Amino acid sequence: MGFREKLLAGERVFLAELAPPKGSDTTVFVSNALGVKGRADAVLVLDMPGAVMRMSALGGAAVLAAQGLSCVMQMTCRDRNRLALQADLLAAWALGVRAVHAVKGEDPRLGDHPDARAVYGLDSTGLIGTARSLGEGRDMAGGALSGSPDFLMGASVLAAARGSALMMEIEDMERKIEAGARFFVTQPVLDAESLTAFRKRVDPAAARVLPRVIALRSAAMARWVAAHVDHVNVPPALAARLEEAEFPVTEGMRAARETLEAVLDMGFPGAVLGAPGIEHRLCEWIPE
Amino acid sequence: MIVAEQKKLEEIVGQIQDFNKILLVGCNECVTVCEAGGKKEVGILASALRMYFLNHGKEMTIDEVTLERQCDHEYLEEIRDMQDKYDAVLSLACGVGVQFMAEKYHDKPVYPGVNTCFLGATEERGLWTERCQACGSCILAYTGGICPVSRCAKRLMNGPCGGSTNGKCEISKETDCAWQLIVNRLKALGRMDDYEKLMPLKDWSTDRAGGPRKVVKEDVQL
Ligand code: SF4
Ligand code: SF4
Repeated sequence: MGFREKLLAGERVFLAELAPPKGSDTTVFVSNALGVKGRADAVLVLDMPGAVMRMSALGGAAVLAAQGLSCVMQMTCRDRNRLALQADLLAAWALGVRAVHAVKGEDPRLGDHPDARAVYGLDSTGLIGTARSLGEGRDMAGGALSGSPDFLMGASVLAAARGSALMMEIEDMERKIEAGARFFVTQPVLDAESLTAFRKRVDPAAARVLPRVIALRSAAMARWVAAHVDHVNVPPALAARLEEAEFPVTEGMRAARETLEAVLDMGFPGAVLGAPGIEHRLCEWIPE
Repeated sequence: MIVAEQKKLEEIVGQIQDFNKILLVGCNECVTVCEAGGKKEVGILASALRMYFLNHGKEMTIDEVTLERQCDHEYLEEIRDMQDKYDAVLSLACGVGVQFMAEKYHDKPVYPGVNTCFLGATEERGLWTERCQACGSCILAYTGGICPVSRCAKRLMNGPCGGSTNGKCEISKETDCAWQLIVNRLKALGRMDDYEKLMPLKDWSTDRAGGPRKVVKEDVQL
């Protein structure tokens, strides 16, 4: 069974997240993706995460699809107007992509091209609704399509939000579900605890919420995430553990594996697994 | 100045019809010049609204006041006691004034009576046209004093494009091609050398695209 069938049947699913290369050489990207084949149900191909310019997710997903790998293409609204977003959805389907993770995207000022003009021709909820209308054979202007894509659409949720921010997130999730979202990916999760409040209010299996569990490779990275990435709780014990470890990369993966087991125990129906900077070792900690 | 246009009466009615007492607030600055929200327009709109609600059998009080500016604490303070007596405020200021009012009177519903359109000039009585998009890093020095950001449909930095025909833009025969205007002006200034140079890529980080901006002038801060 593929990712879509397993997800919709309520079976446990794992996605491995990979960013396409900064450059045109896809050798390492493809080898990392082949490394997770058979363990992950699909590769989540990131779309210029952190607003850092790299090969597009559409390009990356097409390269992997051509290798017979199942992909979820992330799609940011930041860089495209509604013509380009629709055009790329059609292209993605024709190139073999069957699932899309719609995101707003970080502001260009946070990335490596701070002088870029952001577009946001649609927001992510609008993009999900647009994919649905393309699926019904019509574009946003009502024009008829010859051949229509039937994407499995996903969205993001800040499941670690607290208090009133959490309630807003949950309302936003409902809007996204209404627009056509069939699964959700959380912000990076470094401790299962941070999802407790969310878990009390949302049935993660019914909403198909996949926590994004990340392996950190060093104590320095833990400190950087704590200082720069919003909505991610970096437990001090984790930073200390990485600091003291003889092999921090292995220790980071061990910690991520523990977090993964904890979120699965909490009833989440699977996870997105990432190991930024050490993608070649991602396969080591995806459960068999 | 900021150019605005009054909303259609039906839209305004839709915003306020559930209330009984409305304070209609005009502004003496830009919206007076573009004849959308000054004292005169406040008077005309108030009469039109009173007539509308009378004809529809609804009791509605519409009172009028026009402030010097609505984008300034000092002038907004003038209606502190007054606004208390109303269910809602209908502001004919630009979007800045409406928001500043809403921030100041946090629990008072405030509605916009105009659509704020652009930064422009009065070309002739009754005609306002766009001149600036507040991009935050002005390049007029290199373009003969004519702005391609606000006046070229494609915001080209090295125009004109292939759509420029007889001095008009491809989007409409009524719209001047900004780059034709730039070339004409540079010729008149004897500065066609400037046109030959390739314009550097525009820095959009000062533009609105990256979130709300602010200007700080420390030497005048209290
Ligand atoms: S270059 Fe920018 S600041 Fe200057 S007139 Fe044009 S939009 Fe306004
Ligand atoms: S015709 Fe002139 S104003 Fe219109 S898009 Fe082309 S260069 Fe810009």
